[in-house]
Amino acid sequence: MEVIISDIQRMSSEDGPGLRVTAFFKGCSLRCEWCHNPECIAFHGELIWNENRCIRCGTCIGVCPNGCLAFDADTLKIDRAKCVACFRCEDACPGAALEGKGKAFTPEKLCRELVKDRAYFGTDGGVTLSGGEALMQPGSVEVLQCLKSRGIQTAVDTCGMVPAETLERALPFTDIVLYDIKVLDNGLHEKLTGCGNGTILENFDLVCRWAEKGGRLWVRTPLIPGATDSPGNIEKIGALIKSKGASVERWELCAFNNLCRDKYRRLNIPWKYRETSLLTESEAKRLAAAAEKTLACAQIRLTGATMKEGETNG
Amino acid sequence: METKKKSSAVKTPYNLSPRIQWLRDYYFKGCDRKWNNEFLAFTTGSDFDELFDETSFYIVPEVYAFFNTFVKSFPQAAYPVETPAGFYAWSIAERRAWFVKEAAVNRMPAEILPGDLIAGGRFNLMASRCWSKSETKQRNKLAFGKGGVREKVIEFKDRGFGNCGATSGHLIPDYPRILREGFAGVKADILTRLDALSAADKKGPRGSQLRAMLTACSMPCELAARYARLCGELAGKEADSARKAELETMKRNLEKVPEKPAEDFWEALQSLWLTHMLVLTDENYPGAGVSFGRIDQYLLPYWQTSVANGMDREFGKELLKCFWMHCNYAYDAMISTGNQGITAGYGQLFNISGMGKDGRDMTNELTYVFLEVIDEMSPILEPKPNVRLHTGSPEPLLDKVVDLIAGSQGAPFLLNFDERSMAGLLREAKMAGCEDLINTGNVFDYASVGCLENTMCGNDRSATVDCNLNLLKAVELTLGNGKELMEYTDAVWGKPYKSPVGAPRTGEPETFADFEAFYAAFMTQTRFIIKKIVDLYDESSALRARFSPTPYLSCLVRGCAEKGLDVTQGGAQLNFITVEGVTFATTVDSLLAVKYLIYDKKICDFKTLIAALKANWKGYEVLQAAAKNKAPKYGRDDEEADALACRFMSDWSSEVWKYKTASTGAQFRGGMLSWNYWIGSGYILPASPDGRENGQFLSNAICPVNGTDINGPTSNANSVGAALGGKGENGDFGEWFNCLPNGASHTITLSPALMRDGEHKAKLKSFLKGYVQNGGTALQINILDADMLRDAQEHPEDYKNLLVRVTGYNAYFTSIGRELQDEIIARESHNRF
Repeated sequence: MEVIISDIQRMSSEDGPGLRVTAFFKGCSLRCEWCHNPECIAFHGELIWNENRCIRCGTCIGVCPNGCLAFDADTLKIDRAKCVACFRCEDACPGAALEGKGKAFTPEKLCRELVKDRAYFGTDGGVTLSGGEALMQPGSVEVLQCLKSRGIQTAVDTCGMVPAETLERALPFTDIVLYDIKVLDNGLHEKLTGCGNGTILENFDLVCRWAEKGGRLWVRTPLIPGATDSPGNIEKIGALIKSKGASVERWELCAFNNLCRDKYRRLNIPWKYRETSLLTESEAKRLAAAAEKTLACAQIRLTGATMKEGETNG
Repeated sequence: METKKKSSAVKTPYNLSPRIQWLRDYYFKGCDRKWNNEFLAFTTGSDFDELFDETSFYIVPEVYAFFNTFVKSFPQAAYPVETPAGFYAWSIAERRAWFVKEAAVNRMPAEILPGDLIAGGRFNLMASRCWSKSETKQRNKLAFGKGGVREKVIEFKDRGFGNCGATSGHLIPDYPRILREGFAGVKADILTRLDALSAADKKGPRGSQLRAMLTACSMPCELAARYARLCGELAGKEADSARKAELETMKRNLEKVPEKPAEDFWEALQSLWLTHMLVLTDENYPGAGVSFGRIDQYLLPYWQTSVANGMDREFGKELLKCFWMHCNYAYDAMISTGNQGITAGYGQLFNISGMGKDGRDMTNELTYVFLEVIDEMSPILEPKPNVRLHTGSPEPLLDKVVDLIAGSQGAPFLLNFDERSMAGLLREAKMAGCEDLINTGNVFDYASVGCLENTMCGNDRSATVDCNLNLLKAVELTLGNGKELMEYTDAVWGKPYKSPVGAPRTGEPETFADFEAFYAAFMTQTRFIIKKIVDLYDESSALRARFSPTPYLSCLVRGCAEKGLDVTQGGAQLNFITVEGVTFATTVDSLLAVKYLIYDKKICDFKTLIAALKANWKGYEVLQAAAKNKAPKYGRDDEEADALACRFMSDWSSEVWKYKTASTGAQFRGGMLSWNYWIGSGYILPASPDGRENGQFLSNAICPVNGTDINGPTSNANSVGAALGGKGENGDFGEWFNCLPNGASHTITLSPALMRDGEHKAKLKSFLKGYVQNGGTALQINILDADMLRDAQEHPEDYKNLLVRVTGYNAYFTSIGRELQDEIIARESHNRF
């Protein structure tokens, strides 16, 4: 079964251990307000216009079969209701300003791309399926299977909001699970992500049991200003992890990232966090200290960019 | 965790003793120093005497405009030296050997800087060529006369072909032999050979060459004796007892080496330095590419002896640090005229670590000592370290390498990759028919000269940068059916070149039915430009062979004594000339663009494309955008694009193998090092089908065109390996193929975020191990962030020490031009997101 991919990131150093290649699957089961991969929220293909590459030649307008494209002064307007993501405009665009997010790959073809960096994986690197929510696409299990058959170490970066059966089918072909736990308060989780966290916590139990039998499990918690960054939330997540004994290898606190602002603009999606600054170094360190205090697991890491006190961040 | 900050700290030296700190600080005072090593000139005093030999500088287009000035001004600035009676009856080699020795031993000042532990200060010498009046006339007719070499070289460059010339340096002398046998051993060998000559041969060129070499052999011995006396005098006056003891040891060392074999580390370094610096003296050339070879291997026994005899490890490093400072004084050659141009990077290179017999790793305790010294002294330009990595490189070495990369702005060394490099050298052995001299039994003892040019040690006149060919010129000639697309003009006088360029008529491009037809025509033009450069090179090579011997260097290259032939005349056992393919990626991308625009997608026809190129894309912006953004590109791990890169690499490099110099019998071979030509030639060559405009830079060495490697460093490295031939069964060495024996310069820029902590350094280590498998022969890593570079542009005073890798060489960022600075910033910015 084909999978829909938005991007492939070569030489990724932040999606699991070692050097990796990460495939970003399109479509997600959650709607986190802070999502830093907005192009992976919708399951269908989407067109992105990179204005700085556009030479305003208008070629795209002529090739669009549905009349979705028009210039409004200097800006290309995309009628997203009419766009069927045929990406003929992308093909024709001489400036490579138009970019189609969401291309179909057979698992075999995707694997061929993903293993090109094999020589660089070393003992602890490999391929990470991310997104979006990779496991929401049934073909992702075939991709994992295909990678394992080639002897590639696999990681799945999941939000946990997936059918338990899919997880159970995927885990035998997975070496590492990167499992997001964002907020433990169910009501707040629903408010921030569009879903309660019941399924996510049930699946977490499932993954922990898998980890006890030898799987590697990393928990990731995004530190989102005003949303997940209360010390109380961090302490509760820490306690949950600790309650799972030694099944969690590592807990990563991922500092809020605002480099995705342009992606929201290009998708014509308003973003609540548009004006939000990075965490300051001391805020991030305070949260990391709170996490450390919980003694949740052996490795607790703070990742991502922060800013110095007093620095404005634009 | 990374914290955003305005500018990163520039790497600073550390763990320097007061002695080394002073020597280092003193060096960096530059023009304010009282002592320097600027060229000192010596003349025979005759009115026809000449000193400056421009052939070494035919590969430095920046200097063309000053040739006449140098030719005329050096004799005026020179001190006269009276020559013995009958001087002009001797051969040129004998005259030069006598003259250079006389100037170096008896006329150059000898000084020892305070605290220095190694003797040998002044070596930048500009000596009379020692030509007679009639020789001068003959030589200058060939060099500067109508239709002479200079005129052709200048036109060659002005019309965008590239440049070439018989250049000094760029080889690895047989230094280990001097450490083992001393010059006494060399001398004895020459005497035996001289004795064995027939009476006729004794009178002939072989006899005179050997006699010149005998004279040359006594130069280092006599100079050492002079320095020994100086040390003795200084010791006599020295009040500090510790320093006095040092000077007395130096005196004893110099009474022994380099004439006799060295026995401990101090003696070995003293012997090595004096022997090396006199090569620069002999060639009248401040050291570009005169390289040390596998220094941690051949110095190891001396190190071990000294350590066993109680030498403190830190004192051993102190000796090395003194050695380091001496190498940097090469840059003083033209210090009053500024630290620009050629002086941005010399490349007295040494290799450490690497593979030994049967794939064994040769890392030893001295390897780590060298790495420590590199780190503690850095940033500093010379000597230039090159660390050899291979499949079996040990983890502690890789850890240290990664730590050093993480701690500096640019890796403080080049990295060479043994498997791919050795594959190239074994291919060379096969192609050149010299498998007796290069084979699986000794290829691991290769080393690099200058930047990354792989050669054998001690017997290889490697001539690595002598021919620099803009491969892109063949694209222009193909599109023009053998004619150029624009009128070229003399860079100095602005006069247009009217003469036909002489290229074959390969047909009007519109008549090419398919891409194969186009490619066939393109290869015909490629053969033409290769023939053109080898022919032109041969003229300057013939000039040098006839008029500019280097008898001292000949003593240090195996084969010269045996053949009784100077190293400039093909005396070495191995004689190669590298044709460095410049503009490789721009050329490949241009071919890919022609295929895409004209044949695959039929976006335009040849007429339109040619018109667009002639208009420098003005009025053809949409087509240019398609050429730039839509046509496939080399450097993205795109199998189809890389297949064309590999095909062209194989085709052009195979063509090069067909040629040898008529003058010296040297075999041409391929390599890829673009020094700074990819910048300058970008202003000469017209717009290219890949979307590049005239005035934009060309691609650098084997690197993809700047900004096209959108899939990151691993895909970039995979493409480079693929272009060299990739891997497969029956490779040239193991699975590795390599069409470029001389190596290929590959530069990447990594973000500092990739080395922010131990875990990330492990990731960088994985990258290097992957590079061994998939990448090219040599890698240079810049670790920079764009903000820091922009800050350095605005506040150069804060960044005097900021070293960046440009191509095969490091340069101080603040000393290079604004365009190149912008280019380096663009390269970094691109990698950030």
